[in-house]
Amino acid sequence: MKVAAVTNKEQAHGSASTSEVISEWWDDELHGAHDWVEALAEDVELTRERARLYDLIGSRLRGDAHPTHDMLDGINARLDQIPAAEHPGRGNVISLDAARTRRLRRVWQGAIAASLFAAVTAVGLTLSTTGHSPSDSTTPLQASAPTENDRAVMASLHADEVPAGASPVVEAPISPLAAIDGEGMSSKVSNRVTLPDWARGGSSNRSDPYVVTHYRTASPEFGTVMPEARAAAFARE
Amino acid sequence: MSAEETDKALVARARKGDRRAFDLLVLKYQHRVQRLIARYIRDPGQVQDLAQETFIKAYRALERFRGDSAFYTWIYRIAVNTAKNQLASDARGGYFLSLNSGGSDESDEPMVEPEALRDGATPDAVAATEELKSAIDRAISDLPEDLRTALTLREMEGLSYDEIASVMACPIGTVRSRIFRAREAVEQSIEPLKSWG
Repeated sequence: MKVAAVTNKEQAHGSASTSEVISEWWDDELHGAHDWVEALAEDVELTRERARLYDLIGSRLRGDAHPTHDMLDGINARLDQIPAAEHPGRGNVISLDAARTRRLRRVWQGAIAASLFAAVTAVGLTLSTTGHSPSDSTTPLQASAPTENDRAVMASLHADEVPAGASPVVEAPISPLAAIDGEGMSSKVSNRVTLPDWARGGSSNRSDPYVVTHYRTASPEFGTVMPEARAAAFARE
Repeated sequence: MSAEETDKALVARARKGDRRAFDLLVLKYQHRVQRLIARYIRDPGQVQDLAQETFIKAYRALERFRGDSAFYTWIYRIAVNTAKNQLASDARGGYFLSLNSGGSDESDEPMVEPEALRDGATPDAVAATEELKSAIDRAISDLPEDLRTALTLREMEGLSYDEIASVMACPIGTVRSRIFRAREAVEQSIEPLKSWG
């Protein structure tokens, strides 16, 4: 009875349809009613009154413990204090459609960049696997069989005498030891080890341990080049 | 048009500078945001402040809202972050209740007060609130069975109109009408207590 009276009253003053839409909007059930968004925005005060009522009813039914308040005035007062330039719609406004377009453009840019990178990589890989460099076309160096002279020289390393018929490794070498000994230049390979006077020591005719040690320290490869000299030095010490 | 699409339409208008559209978003979500923040913050005054802060932040960030998620998801996230930041700030300050919370030196627990008194309401206002609650309770219990069932399924169980139509074995249009009529009937019952608005 009471409900019927209410409905009749609403229909009488013609606001029933708007209130019903607000009820649906409150319940997230506003399907296919694009125009009503405009209507809701046009009559914010009616929407505000209904929203407050609907929240009260729902809150009582659910038994919500915490009371809530209408903060719209307080929020609007604070929004009014925000500088105009910082409000949405002032300057760089981007609509949802524009934002979607921008996102879509970013996706396309990313796809183009990725495809370009893939193409460059593919070309690089192709060139590296099928390309011909000058070194690839030449025959690799191969060891040749030792010559007669090589064999003779090798044999001399293990013999005291240079075999007859073998040519010296150096046609006219300057023997450092010979030069130090003052024997001049010689083309003969000598296996004789002779330390210079300053290496052998002065009056005592013994090698200066410092010189030998220093020699070995400063030229560690000396022992490799002339192991006999090192052995002699140790023997003298 | 779903709820998300309705919200997006309002957001689009608000981004163009339509403050009324943002007002509608505030009207729809302010109570839910307050209840959400109240789960983190006990002081009702502080809850209101933080709820306001939430909407101010949302308004300032509207142009950065990309619409990838629903508006309510976005605003809830802002609310939760705002509440958590407040808790962290209070913890750094060495207290957990604001000066308005009614906390005493002897205990961290707030004083137990009637809900309406917590935010500085007068005793008359408290009495009016209690009277309003009783009137709403009476109006709901006086509703015809079909209207009360539809409203209860919606508000208490959170069912959609489609689900309520299945439960009550009636067309969805009937559900829509019943819920609306139930609300209008309650409003008529509390008409004498017009101060509720």
